[in-house]
Amino acid sequence: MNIIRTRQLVVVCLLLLIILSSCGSYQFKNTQLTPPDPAYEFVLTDQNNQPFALNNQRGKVVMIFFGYTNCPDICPATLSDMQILRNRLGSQQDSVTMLFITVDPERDTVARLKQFVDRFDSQIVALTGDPTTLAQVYKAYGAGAQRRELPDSALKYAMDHTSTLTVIDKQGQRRLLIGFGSDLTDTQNDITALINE
Amino acid sequence: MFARITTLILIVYLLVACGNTTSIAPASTPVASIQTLSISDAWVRSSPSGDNSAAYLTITNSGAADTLVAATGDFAMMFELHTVTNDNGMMNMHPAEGGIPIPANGTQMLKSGGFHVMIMGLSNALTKGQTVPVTLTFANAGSVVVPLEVR
Repeated sequence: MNIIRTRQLVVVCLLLLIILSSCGSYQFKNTQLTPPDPAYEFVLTDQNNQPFALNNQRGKVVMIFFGYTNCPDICPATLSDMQILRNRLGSQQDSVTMLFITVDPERDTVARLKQFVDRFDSQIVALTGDPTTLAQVYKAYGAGAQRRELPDSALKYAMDHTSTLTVIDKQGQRRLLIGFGSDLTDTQNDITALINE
Repeated sequence: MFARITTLILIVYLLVACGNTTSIAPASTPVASIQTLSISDAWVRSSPSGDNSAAYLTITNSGAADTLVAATGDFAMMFELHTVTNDNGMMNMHPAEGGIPIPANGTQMLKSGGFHVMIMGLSNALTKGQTVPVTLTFANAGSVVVPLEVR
């Protein structure tokens, strides 16, 4: 009887251990890139007309979003989410760099980019550059950036572009892809996990 | 026996603690209605003067199918019904051809990443907390003025 009791106790303890350990290891909610690959390095110009080099961001988590300032829906919605996310990160917000790279350099001047990000959070870095450099960045991050003529619309043209955010870890590896409309709390947890690595 | 039950409760509790908690969204009150259509959760994104914005809302229909054919207002140069199609993460925004369908006895949500009212060239800045009117025109139900909360 005692032996049976002891065995039962061991089984129960093992079960508890399994459950507890599954609680502890963090499971990313967004799409993980496995294996992670080195993020494509670039130097672009920020909204204050200063050069911005991705490789100066080692030690920080970097989130990259492609968009354009005339975009009325997806881009403001995403920048608004970025702003909320930065607020929620609180004291850890300096461990994350959020980038907004224009896919419409023709209309998005440096001044226009500054005005646009200031609406949300002036700490978001808005980037532009020469067409050749930008084309390479779009290609490396699958940004798309196709001009679509809208002859019947006052917008004249829209830019088709990816709405997926790329997340780069503190070692400069591409780690996560965040789809449009992903749950903000899931994203917050994922980013916090990458900060704490 | 008691010990077993206690253990079982403990395990169930731990499993529950691992899972995500769900919250129920509060039901929103209609801000406008016409015939069988009622409009709720109507808002527009804050934006500076001269810039673009977008309006979002939910249309609940308790009758036959209808179509939202136009949106107009006096606080911007242009109002257009647009949609966004998501092709593997690639977003294509374009005018909603033939308007926005409102299903019979159903709901149509205008939301970010889908159908929305695109607003171009704001005459004045839209400031959070402010309310601005937009007129929605439906093929069958006719026109209704909807107050949009600036968020």
